[in-house]
Amino acid sequence: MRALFTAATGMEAQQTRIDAIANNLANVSTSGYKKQVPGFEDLFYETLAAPGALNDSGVALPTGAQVGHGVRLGSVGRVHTQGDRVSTGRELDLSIDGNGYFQVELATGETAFTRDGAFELDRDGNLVTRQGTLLLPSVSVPVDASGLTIRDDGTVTAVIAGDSAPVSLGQIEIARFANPAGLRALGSNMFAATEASGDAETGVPGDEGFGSLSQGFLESSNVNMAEELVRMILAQRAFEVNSRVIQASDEMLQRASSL
Amino acid sequence: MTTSLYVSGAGASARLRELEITANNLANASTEGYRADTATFREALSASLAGDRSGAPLHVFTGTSGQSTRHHSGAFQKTGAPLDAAIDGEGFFEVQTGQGTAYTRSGSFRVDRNGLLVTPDGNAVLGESGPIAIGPVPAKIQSDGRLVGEDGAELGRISLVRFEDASELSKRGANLFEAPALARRIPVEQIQLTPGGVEGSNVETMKELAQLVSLQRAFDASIQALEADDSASRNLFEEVSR
Repeated sequence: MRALFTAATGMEAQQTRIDAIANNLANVSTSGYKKQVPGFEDLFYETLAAPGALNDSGVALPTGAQVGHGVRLGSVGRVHTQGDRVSTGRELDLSIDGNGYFQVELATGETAFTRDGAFELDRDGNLVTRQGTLLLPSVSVPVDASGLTIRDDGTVTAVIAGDSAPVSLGQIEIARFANPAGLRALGSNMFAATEASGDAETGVPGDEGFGSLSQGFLESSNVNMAEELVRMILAQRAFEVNSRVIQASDEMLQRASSL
Repeated sequence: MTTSLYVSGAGASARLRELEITANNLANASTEGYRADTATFREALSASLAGDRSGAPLHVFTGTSGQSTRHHSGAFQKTGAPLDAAIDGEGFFEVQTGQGTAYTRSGSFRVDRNGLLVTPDGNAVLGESGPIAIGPVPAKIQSDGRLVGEDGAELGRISLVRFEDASELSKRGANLFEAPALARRIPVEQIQLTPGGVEGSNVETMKELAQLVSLQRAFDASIQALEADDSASRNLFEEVSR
């Protein structure tokens, strides 16, 4: 009976919704995390009689007869709105205010992208992420440097022992995409470019279309807990309602088969 | 007696049809831009076996069923995404698909790799002069349908379309509606959108649940009538064959 399968698609959809909500809530304090919002669409319809088709007496049917098959997952979009800035005071923490991603080099040589600006220094003094992936273009900080300053346009300067004037150590560039929602999540707060996202376009922070940097701040996740909790309650109720339909179909089938 | 069997059978089938529609509505109770369907039934009179003049009762079947879509707006769901918008009032977004132009209320849009404004399925959203190219710059939808960049520059404008008779639309699935070729499309002059969220499903869960209970009972009643008919026939045959 079709209604049984239709209701099953409904339950599956709500389950997926809960999964996405659970992931969002689990990552509510992950810096640079972008919330996931699943999008659903109704499944194809079987047309028993098309609207406008002629009936037996040659009159056009004002409404047709179409049977729906339920719902399916259309997409799981990531909402790339700005998360709140959290002040940490740490000189290697950076947040991007506006559009753009930090570029990092994975162990495989591929370039990945991230909004998580909590950087460290590796043993050669290069700026790396917490996972140890190198920031591109690479910036190396000498051992005897102090007063490391990263300006909002990405220029890195520090004072080397012995000199009084700050020395330029490099320029951080960020990348932007035509369709950030099309980036593939790699985990560890990193994303990879795909066909759907388009190619990365690099630029200097603060330029038109690129966000600026803030040293001493981290971008928190853009998950709104109240919103997620409300969605969770709605998903739970919708799940129950669909299971009620399965119950009704089952009872009707049972009734019919006991004729 | 045989005819009344078929009448009860038709009644039971009609309830099953209603169940399918109710199940589809409830499965899509949170699908963006979904519009609930209602089953419609028409009476089908059958000529009495003895001819009209004898005055014997006519049998009334539940015949030719269809469904109509309820076209009232669903609740607004805030998402915060800059390219999401819900339509205030009537009208549909126009999208270009592989099978011609389609219409939707689901306003969750993205930018594809070529900079075109598209639906999550990749169908281009149409403006006054066809697909809208926004390019790689971050853009937002305004409440009048304009797409603006970060500096406020206008990058394009979404167009909305209204139908004189919304009941002519049929559902294609994937949140899309189709219109027959002769349908009267009226472009909407004053576009009113609510950006930053999408229109939810207009399914009234309580109503559908009540419908579910009612149709289940009606189904039981038809089956009971069938059983009564069946046992009466059986009794009759047993009597006659004695």
